[in-house]
Amino acid sequence: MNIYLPVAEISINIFVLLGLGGAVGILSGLFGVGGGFLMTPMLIFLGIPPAVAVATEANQIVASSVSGALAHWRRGNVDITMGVMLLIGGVIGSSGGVWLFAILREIGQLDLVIRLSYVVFLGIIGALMFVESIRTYLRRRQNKLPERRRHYWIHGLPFKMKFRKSGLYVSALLPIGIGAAVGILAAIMGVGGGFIMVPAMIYLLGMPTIMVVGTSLFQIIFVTANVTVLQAVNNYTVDIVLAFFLLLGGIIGAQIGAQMATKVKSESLRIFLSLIVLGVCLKLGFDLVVTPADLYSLSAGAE
Amino acid sequence: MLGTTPIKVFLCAAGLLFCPPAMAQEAAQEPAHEPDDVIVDLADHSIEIDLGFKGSNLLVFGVTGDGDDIIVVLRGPDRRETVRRKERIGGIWINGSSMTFRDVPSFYAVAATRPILDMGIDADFLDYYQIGNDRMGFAPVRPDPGLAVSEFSDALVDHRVAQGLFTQDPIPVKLISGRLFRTAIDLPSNVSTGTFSVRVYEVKDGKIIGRRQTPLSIKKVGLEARIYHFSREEAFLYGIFAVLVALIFGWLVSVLFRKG
Repeated sequence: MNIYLPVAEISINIFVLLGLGGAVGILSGLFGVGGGFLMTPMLIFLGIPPAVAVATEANQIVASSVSGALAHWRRGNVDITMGVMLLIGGVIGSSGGVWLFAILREIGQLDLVIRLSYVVFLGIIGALMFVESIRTYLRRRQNKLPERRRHYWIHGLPFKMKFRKSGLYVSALLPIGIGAAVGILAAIMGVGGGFIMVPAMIYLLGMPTIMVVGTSLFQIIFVTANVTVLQAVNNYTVDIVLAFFLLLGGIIGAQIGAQMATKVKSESLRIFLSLIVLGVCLKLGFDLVVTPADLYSLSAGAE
Repeated sequence: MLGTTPIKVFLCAAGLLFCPPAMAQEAAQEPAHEPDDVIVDLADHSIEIDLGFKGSNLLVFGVTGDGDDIIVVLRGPDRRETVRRKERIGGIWINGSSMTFRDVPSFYAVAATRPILDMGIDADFLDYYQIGNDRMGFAPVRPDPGLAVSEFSDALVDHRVAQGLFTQDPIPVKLISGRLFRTAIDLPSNVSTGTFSVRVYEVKDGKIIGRRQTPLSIKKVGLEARIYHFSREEAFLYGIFAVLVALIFGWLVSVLFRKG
C-alpha cells in the first residue's frame, strides 16, 4: 500500500515506513539511544530528499524525547537550570544551523555536507562504541566511573553559575557552548545530538551521570521543536505525513525494544549496534568516493 | 486557428527571425472555426493528486482534418532548472560547475503516428514548435564561455527521461480509419502540478497544416492538497502544528506505557 508524501513529493510504501520506524524504535528501546543518527541516513537510502529527511526527523525526535524526558522528570532526574543554559545555546546553534542549511541548499552543497557530517560522526561513534563494547565484553567487569572534577582551563571561564541539582559551580558559557554545538548538528543532521551532549556533560561539565540523560532530553525537546518550526518556515522541508508514520512505527518498536532489553545482555548487543553504525557510515562514505553512475544532478530554480 | 490565417502563421513560423513574438502569440490565440481543422479532446481535463496517487494515464483523442500524420505534445509548466556537474575533489565527488536553464518544461511527452524524422518536417518548424527533446533550445540564464551548453542540456534531458518526465521516443498514436486518432500518455507519480498544454499538430507532405491546443490541469486535492498548501502558505502555523502533534504523541506514549 503506497502513500504519496505531500512535502517530499514521492510515493512510498506505508509498510516500509512503519518497518523502518519500528526497526529504529527497537534499537532505541534496546540501547536507550535516540535513533535520529540511524533514521536520517535510512530515509536518504530510501530516496527521500536529504533536506526533507533531516527536517522531518527533527520533528519525530520532538515526540520521542518528550516521552523519554517525562520518564526522567518523574524520577526527579532533570536539572532545569542546566537544561535552560544548554537550551539557550541550543536555540542559538540550531537557528544558525537552519540558516546555514538554507545557504548550503542554495549553492547545491547541502546533500554533500549532510552526508559528510554523517560519515564523520557515525565513523567516530561507531568506532568508539565498537572498541568500548569489545572491551566490556572481554573484561566483564564494572567500569570505573569517569574521573570528574579535574581542573582544566574551562574552570577559569567567567560567568560562573550554581547548578544546585547537579552540585556544580561552573561557567554558564560551558553549557551554552555545548548546547550551541549540538544545536548546529540538530539542524544540519536531523539528530537530537544526545550522543555528543551526554559525553560532553559527563566529561566536560562533570555532571552526575544520573542527571545527564534526563537533562539532555529536556534540551533536545525544545531544540528539535525550534528546528522543526524554522525548517518549516525557511525551507518547507517538514513532511508531517512522513513524520506520522515513522512515529507510529517508532512507538511500537521502542516498546518491543524496551521489553527485549530486560531479557537479553545488552553488552553483547552493543557490538551489534556499533556494527550497524559503522555499516551505515561505510555505505555513505562509499557513495561519496565511488565514481557516481550519473555525474549530473538537477534541482529546480536557483539564480 | 490555421484555417483563418494560414499564410500569416506559416510566414511567421518559417521566418521566425523577422517575426515579432507578439504576432506569433496572436496567431496562436486566435480561435478557429474551419470545419476541416483537427479536433482534439482529452478523456479528462483535470487530474487530481491525492494521498493514494500512483501516477495516471491521459487519453488524448480527436479527428484529423486533411493531414496524414498526427503529433501530440504534452507539456508541463515551465520553470528554471539547474544542472550541476560532480567533480572529484580530494577523493570525493562534489557538485562543481553548474548551469541554470530557463523555460524548462517540468514534463514533456511526444506522441506520433510514426517516427517524426520520417515525416520530413523542416527542422526550423520542429524548432519553432519545439517538437522533440533536442528541439527545445534550452538557453542558460547566464552563459559561461568555459562550459559547453550542450553538455549540460543533454544531461538535463537524460535526467528528465530517467525520471520518467520526458519521453525518449515518441509514444505511438493510433490512427483509426484514417481520421480518428488516439493516444495514451503515462503520467508518473512524480509529475508536477499546474496547467499543462496538449498540442496537436497535423502533418501532410512534410508540412504542419493544422494545430490545436487544449489545457490539462493537474492539481493536488483532498488531505494531500490541504497539507501541502498548509505547509507552503501558513508555514509558521504548520511548523507549530507539527511540533504540537509530536508533543501530544510523545506525552500519550509516556502515559500509556508508564511503568507500574
